[in-house]
Amino acid sequence: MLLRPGTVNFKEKWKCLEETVQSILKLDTIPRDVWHARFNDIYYMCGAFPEPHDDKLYESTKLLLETHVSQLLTLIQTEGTQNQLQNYCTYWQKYIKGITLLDSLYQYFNNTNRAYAETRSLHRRESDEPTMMMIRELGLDVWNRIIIVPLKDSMPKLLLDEFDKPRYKLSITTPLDTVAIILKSFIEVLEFNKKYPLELYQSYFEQPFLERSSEYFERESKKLSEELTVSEYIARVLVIMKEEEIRANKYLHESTYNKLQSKFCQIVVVDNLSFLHGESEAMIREERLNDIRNIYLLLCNVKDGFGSLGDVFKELILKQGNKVLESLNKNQIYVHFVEDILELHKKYKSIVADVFNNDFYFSEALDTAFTIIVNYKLEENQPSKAPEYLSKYCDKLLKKSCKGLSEAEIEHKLLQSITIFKYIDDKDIFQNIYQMHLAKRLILRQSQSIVGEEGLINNLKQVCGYEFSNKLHCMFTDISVSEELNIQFQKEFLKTTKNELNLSFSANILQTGAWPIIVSTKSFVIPEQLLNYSKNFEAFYKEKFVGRKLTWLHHQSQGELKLNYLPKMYIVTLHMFQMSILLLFEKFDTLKYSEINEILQLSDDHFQKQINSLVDCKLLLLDGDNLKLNMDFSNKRTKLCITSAVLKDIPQEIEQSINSVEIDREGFLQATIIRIMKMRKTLGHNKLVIEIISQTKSFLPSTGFINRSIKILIDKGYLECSPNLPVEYNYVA
Amino acid sequence: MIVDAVQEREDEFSEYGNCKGPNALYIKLISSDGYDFIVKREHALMSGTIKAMLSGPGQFAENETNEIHFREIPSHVLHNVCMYFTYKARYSNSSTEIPEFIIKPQIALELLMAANFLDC
Repeated sequence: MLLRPGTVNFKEKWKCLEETVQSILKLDTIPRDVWHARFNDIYYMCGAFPEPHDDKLYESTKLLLETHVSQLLTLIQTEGTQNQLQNYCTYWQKYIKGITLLDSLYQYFNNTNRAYAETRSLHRRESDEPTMMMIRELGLDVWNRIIIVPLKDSMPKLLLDEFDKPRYKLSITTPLDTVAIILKSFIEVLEFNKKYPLELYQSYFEQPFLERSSEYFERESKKLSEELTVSEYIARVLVIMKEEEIRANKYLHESTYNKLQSKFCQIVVVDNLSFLHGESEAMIREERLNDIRNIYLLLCNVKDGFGSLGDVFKELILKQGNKVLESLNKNQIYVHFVEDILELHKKYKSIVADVFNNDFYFSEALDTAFTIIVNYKLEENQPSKAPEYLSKYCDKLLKKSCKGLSEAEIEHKLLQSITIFKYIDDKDIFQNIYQMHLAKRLILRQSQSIVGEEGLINNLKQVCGYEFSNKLHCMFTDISVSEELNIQFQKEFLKTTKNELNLSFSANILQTGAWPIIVSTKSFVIPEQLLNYSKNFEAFYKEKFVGRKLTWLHHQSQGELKLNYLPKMYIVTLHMFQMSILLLFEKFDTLKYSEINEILQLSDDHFQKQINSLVDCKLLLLDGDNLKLNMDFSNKRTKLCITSAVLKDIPQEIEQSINSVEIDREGFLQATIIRIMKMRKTLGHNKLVIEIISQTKSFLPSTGFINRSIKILIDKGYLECSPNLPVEYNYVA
Repeated sequence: MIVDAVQEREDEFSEYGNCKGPNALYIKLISSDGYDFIVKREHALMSGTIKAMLSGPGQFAENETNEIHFREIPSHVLHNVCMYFTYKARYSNSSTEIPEFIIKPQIALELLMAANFLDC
C-alpha cells in the first residue's frame, strides 16, 4: 500500500473502524497493530479518490457516538435516582477518556478539517451546512445534547442536596469529590465554546446553589443572632465562613467562591450590622482583643463596615493618653512624658498590627490620636511643651553624666524618641531648643559620643529634610577645627615665648551663623592673668585667617582654679566671671562690693548672680558690703564644680527661642505664599491654603495666621484681591 | 567465553538505552520493505501521527520493543524522514545559521505525502 490517494470502499473500511471505535469507548485494550492500522484507514478515507470520504466519516462517527451516549442515558435513568450521580460520574470519566483517545486517532481528520474550516472562514461564505467539528468537540457536544440536557431537571437538584448536607451535619451519600467531577464536566463540555464556557455550569448549578446558600445563611444567622451573644455569634459565623471557604475551593469552580462570599457577607454581616455594632463599641472600649480581632475579620470585607469604629478607637487612645498626661511625675517631667507616651504608643501600635492587621483606617486613627496627645497644651495660647520635653530628654541621654545605661540602650531610646518627634507639630521650635542644648554640650564638652549625636541628627534629618541638620553639622565641624587650632597654637606659643606655661589655655572658634549664642556682655574686662594669652591667640588667628573678626564670648567661658590658700588643695571649675572675681582676691584679702564691680564692669544683675553663687558655696564671706575669702572653706570632695548654678536652663531662654521661632515662621510663611503665587499667578483662597499647608513641613500654620500673612502681603503690595466674587488673589509683579 | 562476550555487548547497549518498555529512549520505525530505523523517541515525537500512535490504549509492556510498522512508507522515504527529525531537533531554537535541508527531487513527491500523513 502506498500513500497515494486511491479508491476506497467506505463501507468496508468503516466496519473495521467502527469496531475499534466501539472498543475505545468501552476502554478495552486494543492490540498495537490494530491501533496503528486505523491511522492508515482514516488517512485513506480522507484522501480517497475520486472524492474524499470526510463527510461520511464524520456522519458515521457522529451517529455512533450518539447511539452510544443514548444507551448510557437510558442506563442512568433506569438505575434509580440514588445512584444517579455516581453512575453519571463513572460513565462520564470513561467517556472523556475514550473521547481523548478517539481524538488522537482522528488526528489526521482533525487537521485536514481545521485547515478546511479556516479557509472557509477566510472566504466568509455563509455556510448552510454546519462546519464539521473536531472529534473531541463533537464528542463533548453529543454528551451535552444527549445526556446533560435531558437530565437538567433532576440532576442539579441532587447535586444541591448533596452539597447542602454537610451544612446541616447530615451524612453524605455521594462523596463530594464525585460532585466536583460532575460539576467539572459541566464546564469541560463547553470547552470549545469560547464566548461563554461557564454557561451550563452557571445556569444549572451556580444560580440555584447561590439561592440555596442564601436561604441557608439567612436561616442560620437569624437563629444564631437570637441565641448567642455578639462575641459568640461572631466566632460561630467565622467558623461557618471558614468551612464554606474550604468546601468551595475544593469542589467548586473558582469563580463561585467570590460570589458566595459576597452573598455571605451581605446576609450575615450587613443585614445584622446594627446587631454587631451594638456590641462592637463596647468591645473596643473594654479592649477585648479576641472579640475585636474576630469582628475585624468579618467587617474587613464589607464596604464601610467599620462605621464609627475608627473614631471609637481614637477616643479610647485619647482617653488613655490623657490619663497618662495627668499622672506624669513632676520630677524630671520630661523623661516621664517621653517614656510613658512611648509605652502607650507601643501598646496601641501592636494592637493595630495584631488585631487590625495594620489596616490603614485604624493606623490613621492611631496617628491622629497621638498627634493630639503629643501636642497637648497646658494652656490655650501657649505652645505645647512637647518640643521642650523631647529636647531635654535627648540632652540627658547624650550627656556624659547619663550613667546606668549601656550604649545600646541609649541608642535604642534615642531611636524611639524619633517616633515622638514625628508627631510633634512645632518641629521648628524643637530644632531651636535642640540646637541650644547641643551648643551647651559641645562647648562644655559634655556629650558622651560624637557618633551618637550625629546618629540622632541623621535620623531627624530623615524625617524633616536637609535644612534641619545643616546648621547642626556646622557646629560639629567648628568644634573639630577648633581642636586642631588649639594644638597648633600651643606649639607656636611655646616656640615664640620661652615662658613657662602656668596655665593651660584653649579656645573654641564658633561661626556666628550656625550657633545660637547671643552676644551679651561687651564691657567685661578680662583678668590680667589671661590677658596675655588672649592677645596672643588673637594675633595667631588673625595671621592664619586674614579678614575674619573675632569676638570673645566671655559669658560662655569656663576655667579651673587650684586653691592653694587652704590647708587642703581644691580644684574648682568656675564660670569666667566667678573666676575673675576670685582672681582679684589674689592681691587683696578684702574687697568692697562696688570696687569689684568697678574693676570688672559687669552688668548689675549678672554680677549679683555671680557673687551670690560664690557666697552660697561658701568660697566667699559676705559681711555687709565687704567680701573676703573664706579661710575655713572645706568640702568633702577635692574637685568641685560650681558652674551649674549659673548655667541652668532659664525658662527665659526657652521663651526667647520660641519667640524667635515665631518671627522666623512669619517670614517663612510670607516667602512661601509669594513663591506659590509667583508660580500660579492667580489662585483661589482655599486652594492657596491647601498649597501652603502642603509646603510647610516643620510646623502647622493656623488659618488665622495664614489670613494675617495674606493681609500683610496685600498691604505690602505683593498680592491683590481680584475683582471676581469668589475670593481670588492675583500676583502683582 | 561466547556467553561472556554476549553479556558484554548487552552491557554496552544498556549504557545507550534501548527500545524496550514504556520509557525507552529509542523507538523503531519499520518501513514497508522491512528496514528498521531506530531513532530517539523525542525526535520521533515531532511527528503528530507518531505521537498519537504511541499514546494509544495500553502502554508498551516492560520487555516489548517500541516499534511502529509503516506498511506504506518505503525505506528511501522513511530514511529522509528520520534525517529530518535530527535536522529539526538540531536547529530548532538555535541561533546559529541554519543550513538548507536537501531533498532529492526524485523522492520529493513521496516524501511530501509521507509528511502529510505523519504531520511533521
